[in-house]
Amino acid sequence: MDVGILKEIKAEENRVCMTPAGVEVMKQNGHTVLVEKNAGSGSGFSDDAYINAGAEIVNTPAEIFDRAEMVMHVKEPLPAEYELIREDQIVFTYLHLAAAEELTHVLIKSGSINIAYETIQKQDGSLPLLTPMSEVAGRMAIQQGAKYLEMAQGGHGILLGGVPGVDPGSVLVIGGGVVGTHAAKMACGLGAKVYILDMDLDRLRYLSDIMPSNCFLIMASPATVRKLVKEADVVVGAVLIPGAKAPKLVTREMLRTMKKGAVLVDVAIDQGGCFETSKATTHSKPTYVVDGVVHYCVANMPGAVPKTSTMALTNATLPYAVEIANKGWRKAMRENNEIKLGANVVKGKVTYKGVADAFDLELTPIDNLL
Amino acid sequence: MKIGILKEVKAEENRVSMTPVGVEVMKQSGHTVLVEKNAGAGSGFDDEAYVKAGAEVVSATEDIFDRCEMIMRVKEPQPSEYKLIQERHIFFNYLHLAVAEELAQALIKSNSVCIAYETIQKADGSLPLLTPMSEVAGPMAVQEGAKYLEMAQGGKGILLGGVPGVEPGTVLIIGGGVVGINAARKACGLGAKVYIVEANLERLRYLSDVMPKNCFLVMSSPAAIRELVQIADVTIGSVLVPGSKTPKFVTREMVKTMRTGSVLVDVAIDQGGCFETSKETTHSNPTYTVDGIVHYAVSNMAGAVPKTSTLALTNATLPYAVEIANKGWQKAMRENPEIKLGANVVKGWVTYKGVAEAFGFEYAPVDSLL
Repeated sequence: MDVGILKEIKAEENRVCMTPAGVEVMKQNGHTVLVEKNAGSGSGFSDDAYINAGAEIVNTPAEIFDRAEMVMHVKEPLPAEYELIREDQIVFTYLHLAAAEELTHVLIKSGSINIAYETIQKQDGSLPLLTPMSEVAGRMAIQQGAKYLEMAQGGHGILLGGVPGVDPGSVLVIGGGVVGTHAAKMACGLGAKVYILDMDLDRLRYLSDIMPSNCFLIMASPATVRKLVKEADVVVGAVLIPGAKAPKLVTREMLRTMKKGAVLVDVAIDQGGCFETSKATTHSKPTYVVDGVVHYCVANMPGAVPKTSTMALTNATLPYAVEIANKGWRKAMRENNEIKLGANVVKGKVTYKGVADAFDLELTPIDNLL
Repeated sequence: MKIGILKEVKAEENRVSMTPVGVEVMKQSGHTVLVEKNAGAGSGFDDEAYVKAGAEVVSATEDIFDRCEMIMRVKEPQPSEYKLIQERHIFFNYLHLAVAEELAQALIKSNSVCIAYETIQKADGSLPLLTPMSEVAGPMAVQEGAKYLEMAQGGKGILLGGVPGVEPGTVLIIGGGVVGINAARKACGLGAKVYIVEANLERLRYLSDVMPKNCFLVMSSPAAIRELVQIADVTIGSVLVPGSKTPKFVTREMVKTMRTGSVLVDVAIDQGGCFETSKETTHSNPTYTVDGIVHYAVSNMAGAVPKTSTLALTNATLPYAVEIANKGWQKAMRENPEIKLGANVVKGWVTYKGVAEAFGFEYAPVDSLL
């Protein structure tokens, strides 16, 4: 199969969806890999490195869409690419369609096969292609929280970990999944008082076994969120409902009760955000203030550390990409339920429930199309 | 004694040299405390809190100089204040005279008694009024290093702690004192590979007992530093020679061998800095780049987190301030060698060797003045 690796075009996105190491594996499986010029430069991979691994360097995205049977990206296609997507083309990337109505309609119209990284799911419910970025984003969330607590950044001027004789800051992590656990690990490592809210009692029990003793585990409820936001210096929104919009767990009313100069970091912003006052920001202007509370809502947080993120992401995506390329999308979905769950929009039909629900579109079970 | 608490005037300095809690203690010892209007505002203490604690709030800086015998401040006096300093004044604050010739001359001329926080020293060699700010600056150095490694900030785009499957970053800490150990602790807590370079073997042994396993201890030498800067993603300069200019451990030549997008954080910038390419910056414009290496050299790092810093600092300064106020400077210095070592410029004489040597002033041991 001809596989196309597109250069990212979203602002400040320096990741790439396949490394030269991945190209080599694809070649070994008998595939041809086309890589857009400079696709890897933001992550430290030159065109030469791709050529050495056996790729062909291509100048324009139009040529990639034209020649490749499967195109890969990190981020969703942007309007400039809408026209280029061909019928029967496999698009394998992050899509986050539940928060993108226009893109959903474009993909329906195109007749292409759209497999979303973020809804590929294992039997145990875990999301293997979100996990690595969640690990990065969770760890980064604390780095941002600590930084924006500085007074020159709009924060109220405290050091998250405190010092001997001075109380450390308090971090509230809403959601004890991958993002939340990694955020909490970093916050605990800095010496903060850390609260994780989660609704799954078994998860809370597991976290209580593995987290250090400055991590406190609390059953989530509107009442506990309402109570803990008041004393928190940093609140990390780390709630994900796969393929659906994030619920608004911190309301505007709760925001008014928070400390002035506290920091909200909304890691769920890709899915619409889990604070009522969240709106997406960029790395060049990452924060804004509402009611005295600093909001950090950068939509592609891992994009800030592209070298780490590219390695982490491609470690996880490559085996799926190889399987789809080896078997074709139908056979890959029939034989691997994880890939089947990645099907979002296939040949004009919405095949993922969260997306159909979000825009009131008809849901077609993917099995009907295999 | 009448004690005056000045509002800080240096840009972005929001700390205050005495909290309302301290005022209460001073009153109990029979002293009068004058506090400049809004002195505590940046640290979260309003004038009313000071009035309640028994202070008199004063509008004009001149009033404080006119009416008080001991004057406290966090940062050194500014040129506009030089003419206000009188012979009868005891000045008790950070001075860092070894890098401030003009100020040193102004203080010599004033015939006042200038006791510097940073040279007060215990019998074991520790610096009790630098310790709390070092405890703040160390963790902050890691926080800044992590932040400026982000690509949008000029860094190479890696996450300091890595994620499972992706190598963490490397942090090199030059100097294993209070700044160094506190920086290392946080860097270790984030999961980085951490090297501390230190010249004192006993200290290295102690660090090896107390630090986690991702902290590696190396005997300091130009060769060791030359080798480690090449693999470091973040290098933290945390070397202090009390009251003297810091030696340049990382030369311009070594900076050229570092990996592009690495970050240097110079915590010793208050004393001139320990990288040859360091020059002082501010919180509003904290970094600049030399040979592709991001330099962070904010001279009052702790000023960014004034709430934490004020509490940490005043926890440590108050007992000395009370002793000086209770006994007067001569008796306090005679009876407490720690305070005696704080004497920098007394009645027109330079009484601290490091300052005398830095500018070729005549040195007069303070004993001859007691």
